[in-house]
Amino acid sequence: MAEAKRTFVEFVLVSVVGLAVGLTANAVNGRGLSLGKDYFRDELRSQLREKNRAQHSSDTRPGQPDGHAGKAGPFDEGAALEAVAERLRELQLQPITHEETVEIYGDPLCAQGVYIFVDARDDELYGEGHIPGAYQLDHYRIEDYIGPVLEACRGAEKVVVYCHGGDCEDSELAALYLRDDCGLSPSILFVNVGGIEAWKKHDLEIEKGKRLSGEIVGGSGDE
Amino acid sequence: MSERRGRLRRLDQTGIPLLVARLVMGGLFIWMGLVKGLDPVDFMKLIREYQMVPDEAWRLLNLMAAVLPWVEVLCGVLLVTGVALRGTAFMILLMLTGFTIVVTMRAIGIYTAKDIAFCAIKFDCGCGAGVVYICHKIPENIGLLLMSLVVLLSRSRRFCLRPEVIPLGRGLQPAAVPAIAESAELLKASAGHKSDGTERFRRE
Repeated sequence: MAEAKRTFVEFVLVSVVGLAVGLTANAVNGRGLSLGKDYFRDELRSQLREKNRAQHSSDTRPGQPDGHAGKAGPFDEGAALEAVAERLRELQLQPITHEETVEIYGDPLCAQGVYIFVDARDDELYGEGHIPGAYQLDHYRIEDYIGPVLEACRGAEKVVVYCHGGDCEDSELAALYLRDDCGLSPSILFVNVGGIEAWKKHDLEIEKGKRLSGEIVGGSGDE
Repeated sequence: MSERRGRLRRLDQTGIPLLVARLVMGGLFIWMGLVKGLDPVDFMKLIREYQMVPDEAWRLLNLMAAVLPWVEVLCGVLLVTGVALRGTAFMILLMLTGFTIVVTMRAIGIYTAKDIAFCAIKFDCGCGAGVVYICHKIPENIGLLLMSLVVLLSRSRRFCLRPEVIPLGRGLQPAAVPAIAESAELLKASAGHKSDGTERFRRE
């Protein structure tokens, strides 16, 4: 009994010291988290969910089918991407398909910086390969990247944000940051649902390393 | 049965099983904790996938992602150095039990959602070792749970810096810990000497 009591007291002590060590290490760590930052925009999501629920219950009459049921989407990549697109629409963002993304990339206005691409992934993944000329905006460390991105966005007519593709939330979080925190017009902001995965799958050219590094690979695809 | 128990006790008294368990678990916890703690964003994304925390409680998610890896590092350091062993082992036992339950539940979720063999399921569990097969992860966790039980139940305190940091309280039996019993005897003896001396002084 005495041993059990001592074990428990030690456990509490280790927990308290662990909490203190954790908070200190996180504060000292340059890549630490901001404890008061809503990284995943969960508050916005729950607000919109509530709003949609209220709207949905007033729209749907008894005996009538669900408003979204049977709605065919343009995302031929699969139902999973259609679900992501639906999630983006709920957040009042504009999802675009891989084909639309390629079309924007091929437009001469893209080379002039009127249409721009924003890669929302981290340093490692961005360095492994991104859409040529895309700016990097890792929204978890926004202060390190936002300067040049914002400057480019201010003169742009279309801003396409992408991440890995599929379930990846980074592009929508970066887009939400640009829209809600930087005041970028929602009409020029697009989120590519297929992401870099679809881009690579079609063997389109990608740029390795830093932006405008000139190290372009691939490009024999269906651009 | 009692012979087997006696053999186990003798093995435990060598301090080798405890040392092995401490070093293996301690090393693993320090390494995995550092991997996660130095880049907590990835860890935060991974633990969010478990959906243990409701969306509204995002502060709790941040706190978990920021603190848990360093708690693991601390536990690893305490195990390797041999400080507060039982409390640390109990903490690790609780953490591992929790991790194993959530990882298994997630694997079962994937198994029911996708039509694939259970052992073909692999994902980054947020443990610090990247993508792992569930049929490797569960036995690994069970092994670690057994090691934490070794640390928790071992009577040996060899090769440890300070296995107990909490002194025994009033209600505790000194006989349970030989060192304390010895100290008690010494105190009693020295008290006896003092009173003798006082008596002698008075007489003089």
